[in-house]
Amino acid sequence: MRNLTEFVAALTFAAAAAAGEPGALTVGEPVAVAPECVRDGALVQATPAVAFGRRVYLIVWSDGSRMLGKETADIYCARVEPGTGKSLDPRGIVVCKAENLQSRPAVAFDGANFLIAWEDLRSGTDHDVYAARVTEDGKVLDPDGFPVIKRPNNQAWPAVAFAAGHCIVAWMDARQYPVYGIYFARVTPEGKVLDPEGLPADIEDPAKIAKVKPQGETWMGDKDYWWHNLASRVCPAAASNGTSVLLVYTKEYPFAGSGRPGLAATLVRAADATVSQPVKVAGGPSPAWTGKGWALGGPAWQSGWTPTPFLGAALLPETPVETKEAGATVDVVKAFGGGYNVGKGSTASFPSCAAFNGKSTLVAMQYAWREKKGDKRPVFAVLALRVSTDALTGKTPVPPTEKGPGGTGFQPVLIASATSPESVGHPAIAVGPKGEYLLAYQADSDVAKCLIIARIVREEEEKPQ
Amino acid sequence: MRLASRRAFALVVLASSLPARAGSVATGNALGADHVAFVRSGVVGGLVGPARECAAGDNRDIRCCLAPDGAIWVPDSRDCLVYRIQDGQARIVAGCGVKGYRDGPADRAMFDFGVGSYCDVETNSDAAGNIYVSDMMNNAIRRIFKKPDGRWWVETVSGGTKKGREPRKGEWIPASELKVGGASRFAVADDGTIYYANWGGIYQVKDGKGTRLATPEELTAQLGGRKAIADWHVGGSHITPDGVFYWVPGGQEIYRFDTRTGKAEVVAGEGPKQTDAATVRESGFHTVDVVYSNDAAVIYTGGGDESVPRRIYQGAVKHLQKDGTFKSTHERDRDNWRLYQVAFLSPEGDLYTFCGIYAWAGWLVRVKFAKE
Repeated sequence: MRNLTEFVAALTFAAAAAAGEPGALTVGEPVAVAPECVRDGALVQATPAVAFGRRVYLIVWSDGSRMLGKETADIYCARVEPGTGKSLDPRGIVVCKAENLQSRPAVAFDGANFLIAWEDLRSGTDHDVYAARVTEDGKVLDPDGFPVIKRPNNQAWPAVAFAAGHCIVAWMDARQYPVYGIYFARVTPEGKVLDPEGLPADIEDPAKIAKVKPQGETWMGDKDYWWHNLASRVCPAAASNGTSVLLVYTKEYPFAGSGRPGLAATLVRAADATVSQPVKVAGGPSPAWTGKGWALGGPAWQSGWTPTPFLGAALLPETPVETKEAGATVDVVKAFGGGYNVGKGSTASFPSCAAFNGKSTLVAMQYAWREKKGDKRPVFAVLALRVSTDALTGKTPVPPTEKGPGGTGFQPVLIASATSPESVGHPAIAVGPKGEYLLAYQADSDVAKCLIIARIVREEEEKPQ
Repeated sequence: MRLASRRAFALVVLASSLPARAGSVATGNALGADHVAFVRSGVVGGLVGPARECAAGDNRDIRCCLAPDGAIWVPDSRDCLVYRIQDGQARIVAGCGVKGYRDGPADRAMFDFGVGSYCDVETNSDAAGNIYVSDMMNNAIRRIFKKPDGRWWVETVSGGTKKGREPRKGEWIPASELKVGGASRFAVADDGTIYYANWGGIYQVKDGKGTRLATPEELTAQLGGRKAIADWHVGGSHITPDGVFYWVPGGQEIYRFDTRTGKAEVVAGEGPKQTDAATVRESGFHTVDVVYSNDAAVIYTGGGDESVPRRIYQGAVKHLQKDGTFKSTHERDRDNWRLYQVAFLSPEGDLYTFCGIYAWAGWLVRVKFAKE
């Protein structure tokens, strides 16, 4: 890692804009989670996810090559010690080494063990969702995993959260050709899937599909624009409030209607698997429960040909209702420069994450811009923004440099950056003891070296008035 | 866009009209269309599996190709990935999902296809099945190929540096030293020779060396004073088996250049935008995509402000209608077939195109035509 990362490492940010606000944010040293997990002479670790149990954090990732015909991408994990951020498993722990590709892992703690879910192409034809339990001692209880959903068509992009005695695993599902919908299943701490066929959380109206879908499955005839009438739901994320799980995902809107894809949300009550009415929501795609509602963190996009990303969070009531306010956000282009034109329909361009530690929600996202001089190479960054609940609820004033009804009181923090061909991205966050966060991300520095990095992030004590 | 078919076509003498025959390419009315691949875009990192369920970051402003083995190669302009679709299955072959510039193992390679309005990329294949990808932000053309040990690999075959130099016309220099090492739209001959038009004129890259075939001034003089190079990220280039190079600067005029004689001329696009005039030359275009049969006897346009495919054939320009017929019309009729972004033609004349305005939905569909 080079450039600003080293400069930023361990730097304490005097993030509070004014006296009387929460104390500074401290970003710890970067720690490679599994530097000895060498496979075929390379370290290729990608798309991390993280959760905290009672004693340790567990970071999971997709490990290995995606080389067509020689795929070795498997699911690995490693435990990280709270307080120090030290990796307890530098060689990594194998969770799944099945055939073909295993990728996009998600993880939650169910009170006894971690449940890791991932998308799995072991069938060789379509993705299924598999899961495995891992103890806090690092023992894999379900080697190579068990199927959460295994049907024809793609089931992919799992999200997982624990509530009311079950883990809710959600995914995007292509069973309703030609669109994706969001489905979920409950998984017990014993690893039993209570809903083996999956339950719909938000899917396209079957009558609507029947109306526009041509005869003969693939023949389009004069119905040449199904896309005009049907909407997919994709890329779910999940958070728990203890009894229910909020699913946030991207929903297409038929063209010439609301235009670009937007965010939608629905609440799954874990006890009986009932689902609330799906609604459009504002904010970012990464949810966290704040005690006063859901913070939806991550990039929020302006509309238009060259939308500008804002980093922040919007507040959603416990039972989701349609929201349009962007919430407490900052303009990352203003904060970091770049003007990275991402183009239309870029709702989910930059991966993000969010977590609430009892006082604030920390939101992180991947971002990128181009060097203004020289070769104009892409510069990649992981940014974080702390958003107080007061800011989300509009109880603090809007600082003049920030936008949104609540304001934030803070500027975003540069956690790490790298200039192409090096890169950083795919951040993930979990809350540990004493309100500390563990922030993980991938750092690519060479054709044979892409590591998962972890850093402890702490808030200092509040400053007196 | 060239065809995968390697059959020899009759020598076409450059003349004021397009070749009259279309070989084995079907040129009748449309029989219908079926969904081939991609169900949507906007999924970060993409999603493989069944081709009709796969997803990409963005399929906007891209051009695909058909390899000799029947595989379709599709780039993802936002995540800088390259997909291969074969036997109904989609897989990512090249790119690690991060913008940048890195050769080597294909799954760890990086491309930079630009962003937003400047997302743009094309793929082509040669007779041996090598896949060529335009990598404009890196000023390069890259080759994807399978090594004897079965590993897919990416290497730069032209450009790759911003500190290169310009060869004089007829001077051959190492292709890696080409200052203008690529264009987002380019053509590849059967033997892997690359042709492209960019700010310095028309270039040729062969056997690791590059040269300039014509300067913009020379071209402009032959084109009646028209601007020969207007924009690098629109249109579509093509090289016929007998060495006639087509390019579309600015998306409004189609030009061609005979690489044997050095003669350039206007093919189409003198009229107002989007009009089907009495002659091809008098018709007007505003497109970002043009695809060709191997001998260029059949040309389709689409994309940009042209949401309806148009066919240039036998001296006429006609829009594809909802009933499958082709008619000359000046209107963007709602009854027309909205298959927005033409991607390539198969040897049989099947038109592969993306549907959806600016391909948000990112569906690759195939339109079949009757034999005349």
